[in-house]
Amino acid sequence: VPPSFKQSRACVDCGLVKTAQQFDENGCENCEGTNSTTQNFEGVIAIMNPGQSWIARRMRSEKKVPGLYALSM
Amino acid sequence: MSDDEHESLVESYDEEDEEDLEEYEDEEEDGFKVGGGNQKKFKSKTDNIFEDEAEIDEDDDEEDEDDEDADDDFEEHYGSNQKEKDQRAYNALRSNNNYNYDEVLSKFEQKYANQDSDHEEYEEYEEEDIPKQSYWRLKCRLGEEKMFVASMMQKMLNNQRGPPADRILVKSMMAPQHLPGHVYVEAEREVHVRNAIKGVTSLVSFTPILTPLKDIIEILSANKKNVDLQKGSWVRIKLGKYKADIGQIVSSDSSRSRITVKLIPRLDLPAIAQSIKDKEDKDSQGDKNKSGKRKRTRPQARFFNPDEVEKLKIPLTRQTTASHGVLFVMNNEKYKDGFLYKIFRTQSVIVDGVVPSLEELQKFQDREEKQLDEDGNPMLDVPAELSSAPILPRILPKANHFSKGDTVRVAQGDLKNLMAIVESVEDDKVLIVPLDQNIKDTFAFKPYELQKYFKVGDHVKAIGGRYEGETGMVLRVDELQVVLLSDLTMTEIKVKPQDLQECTEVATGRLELGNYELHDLVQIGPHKVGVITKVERDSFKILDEGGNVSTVKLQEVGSKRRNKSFTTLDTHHNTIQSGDLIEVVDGSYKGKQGTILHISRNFLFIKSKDVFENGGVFVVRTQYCSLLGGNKNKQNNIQQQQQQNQSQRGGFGGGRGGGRGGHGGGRGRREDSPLHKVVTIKSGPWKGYVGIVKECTETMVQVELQTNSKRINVMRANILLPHERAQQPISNNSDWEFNVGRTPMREDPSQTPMRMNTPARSNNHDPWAMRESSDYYSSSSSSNNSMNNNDDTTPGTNYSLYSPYTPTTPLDGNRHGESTYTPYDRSTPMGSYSHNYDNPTPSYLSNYSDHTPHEIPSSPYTPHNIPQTPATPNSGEDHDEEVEQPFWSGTNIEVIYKDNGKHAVVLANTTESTCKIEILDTKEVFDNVHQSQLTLVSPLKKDHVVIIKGKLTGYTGTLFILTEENTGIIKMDSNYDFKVFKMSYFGKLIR
Repeated sequence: VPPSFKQSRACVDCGLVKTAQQFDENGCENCEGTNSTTQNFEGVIAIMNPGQSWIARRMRSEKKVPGLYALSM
Repeated sequence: MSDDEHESLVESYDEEDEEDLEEYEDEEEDGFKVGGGNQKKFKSKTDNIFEDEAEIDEDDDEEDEDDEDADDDFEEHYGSNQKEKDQRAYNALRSNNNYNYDEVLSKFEQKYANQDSDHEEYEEYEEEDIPKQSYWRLKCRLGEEKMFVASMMQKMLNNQRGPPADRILVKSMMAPQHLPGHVYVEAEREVHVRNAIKGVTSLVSFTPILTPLKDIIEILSANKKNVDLQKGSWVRIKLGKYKADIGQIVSSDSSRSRITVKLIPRLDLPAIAQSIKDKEDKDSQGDKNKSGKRKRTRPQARFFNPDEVEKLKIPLTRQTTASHGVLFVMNNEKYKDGFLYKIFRTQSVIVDGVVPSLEELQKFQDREEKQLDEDGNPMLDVPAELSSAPILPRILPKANHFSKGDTVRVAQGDLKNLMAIVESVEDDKVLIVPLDQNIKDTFAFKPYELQKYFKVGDHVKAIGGRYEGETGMVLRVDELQVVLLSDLTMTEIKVKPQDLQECTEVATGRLELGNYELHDLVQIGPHKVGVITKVERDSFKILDEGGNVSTVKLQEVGSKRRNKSFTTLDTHHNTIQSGDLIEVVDGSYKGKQGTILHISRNFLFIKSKDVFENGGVFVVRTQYCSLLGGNKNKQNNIQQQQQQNQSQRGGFGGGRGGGRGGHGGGRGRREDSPLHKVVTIKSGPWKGYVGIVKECTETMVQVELQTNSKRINVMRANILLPHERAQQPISNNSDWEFNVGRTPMREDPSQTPMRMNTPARSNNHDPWAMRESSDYYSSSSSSNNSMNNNDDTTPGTNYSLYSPYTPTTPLDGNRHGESTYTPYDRSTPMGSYSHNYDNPTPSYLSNYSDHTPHEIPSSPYTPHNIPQTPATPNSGEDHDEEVEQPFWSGTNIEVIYKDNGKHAVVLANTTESTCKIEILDTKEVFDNVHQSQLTLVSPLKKDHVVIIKGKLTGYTGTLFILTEENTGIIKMDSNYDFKVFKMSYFGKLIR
């Protein structure tokens, strides 16, 4: 989870939002390998229980890790 | 079994059974014990064994976000004690379960598979139906939504292992960008939401509001829409100096979420100059007190002007960039074409739903146009795309400009360049049928995916943009625009395809704007009037007296001039007024016919179908016009009459002739006035028409036609009174001119004013006419100040200036002294005096009574005598002045060779006095025949003649009438003018 939204970035593939630093350190938890991120996202959603969230299902992120995701990129 | 495998099993397992997990929450503190206990408790149930395993692993899993690295993280995260404990638990678990592990595993796998399929079913079910969760809306402080969501996420992670009361049981929480101040929570129960938001500061309301699923779906789908930052779209700046200002996107950098926006700069140049100066001062003096206060007032939005900047000595640099061409850089801000090019973050501008107001658009557009004027062809410059970036791209982004039947071309997508016809149009999609016969389907397209298609030659109508309402033919189709030939103006106009529609009608253009209508005569300056030739959206094209067309804004147009009742005289001195049909007989519009729209001073505004420019309206001097239906042959009659008069005068003495005329005039006026009588027009274009005489002068009558109530002016000689049944062979009796005195009507001096026209004729038909007449005016006004108040537009008055009762008589001398005066004109003796007789306008009377108060107008006997007396010497004078050249020049003239008496034709003029001739029947050629040996063949009536002496040598014409005075009246080919020449002045032409 990003501590702040300054320099927050979203994973292009899954939409996970973290700070640039966090991405540098850990990469994206959902997507393997190095993936690109973008600053250009709008809206956030905290998916706390991906398996049970209907929204998560709708967004096709039910198999992803809990965390902050971008609503749109 | 490796841990990895194990865990993946566990993970999928516990996904399903979180509720079970909750049951064991209390025991979860000590994984080892719990595990052991459970194991004993549910030993018989293999399912539960895995559940315990799951629980242990669940701990690990929840603490580490990365399940892949679960083992590594496991060691890292746990303290050594904890680690040992867990290790022991694992070992114990493994040893305990070893005996049936494989069995369990297979069972588990079975179950897993089942569950998997269950899951899929469940998913489908969920997709279709409502989820079991509810959605709650929370109000949050503006700008803190994201942080709130993030902190909730953090809180959830933190409390996951904490006491169950603190756990966050909501499933998700979202903060959509487009709904500021709102956070949506997905949870099963409201209590969960309430618990979750306990102690959070950024909320405004702690009461969750239940939100229908529909809204949530909308929010989610709305979010998927990506705002496109297309070039040319309008934005509004959110903050700063340019807050709420309109801007246009020039370019965008989506990866950095930066856009370059074109703005009208708000510059306070003096302040900038001052600050720079201050800075310099500071640098030199080290003075710190001068730090200027930040200006509170907002500078006016004005276009950037480099010259102005340079004047104020503000450093300015030029910079050339690949993307924008040449830019001016001042204070780190970039300017181009007067606009400020500023980079904004995407977040700091409003993109959605920005509709520029008309004024804002106008400003942008004006500048664009100005740019055109200044540079000539900026369209071809480097920033061609920029300048031609549609200035009005998205005013009505939703407006669907397609209509059924339009031919369109697909502009984007797989089916690009597919031609189709619009079948139907719905809100945001257009159904099209491809032109290709092989494709039978209809396709639905978004309007922006389609482009209207026009062929060269199509007749189209502009349905939007600057030229809205105009129609025209497509001349060519460019990339972005269609070039039309406007029906209205016959000029090329450029219109964007989306503003066009095929149509068959021909626009007449707008007819009115404000209080003004097309073809109104309006004041456009203190001394300038003009006629509206075209009405545009907010301006007019106005043709002024000088023939110049200017575009004048509605606001700048002055008052309307209503002068429908004005009359003036044409070249033949027919009274003309607006609405009359005239023909232009001279000047650049010669030969054109048209209707008089307005009369302004001595200019006529004519509407003609023969003229294409300015919508058929042109301006011409009154002197160049001839009234259609007026007496064109007037000149002949006048001249003949004059000659006749002169000969009479020669016989009987001027006094008597005049006296008779005067007497006749009085009688004619009293007895033969056709006023208010029904008459038939005998000749001219209105021949045969019947009308009532509404007004009459000595020469002219105004007849109101019975057919169309139109008033036309007809020569009095050309009307037939009901009682006089075509008795007089007036119009073309050849011996008429010899019998002028016979019938009172013709003898009537009321006709003598025709003679008054003589000077006018020479004025109007001479190439030097204008000069001369202006000389007239100027000299007359200088010599007689009392005349200055006369209206110039009433020619009658002008001529009355030469009335003998006024002290203008010397003018005649002046006029005769004019170098421009041609001998031919002088050959019409009496001309300058004859106008004294009378004149059709009332001004005569006023002048007359003014200057000769003793005379009674109704008995014109005496006054008529007076001017005639000096007439005789004058005519002699005229003749004396003429120095006839002894020799003539010209070719193709029929001559008689005196030596053999045979007719010959002049082939060439070898010297001044000799020429080369060819005998007509024998074809013999003689060189150097002296002119004395030749006799000119007298041409007959209607023969083609050429002028062989004098200034007009070489001009051809048709001999109209031969008089016994050895003069002939020739209708000139050049301008259909009638001129009087001596017989020796013209020769018969041989074709």
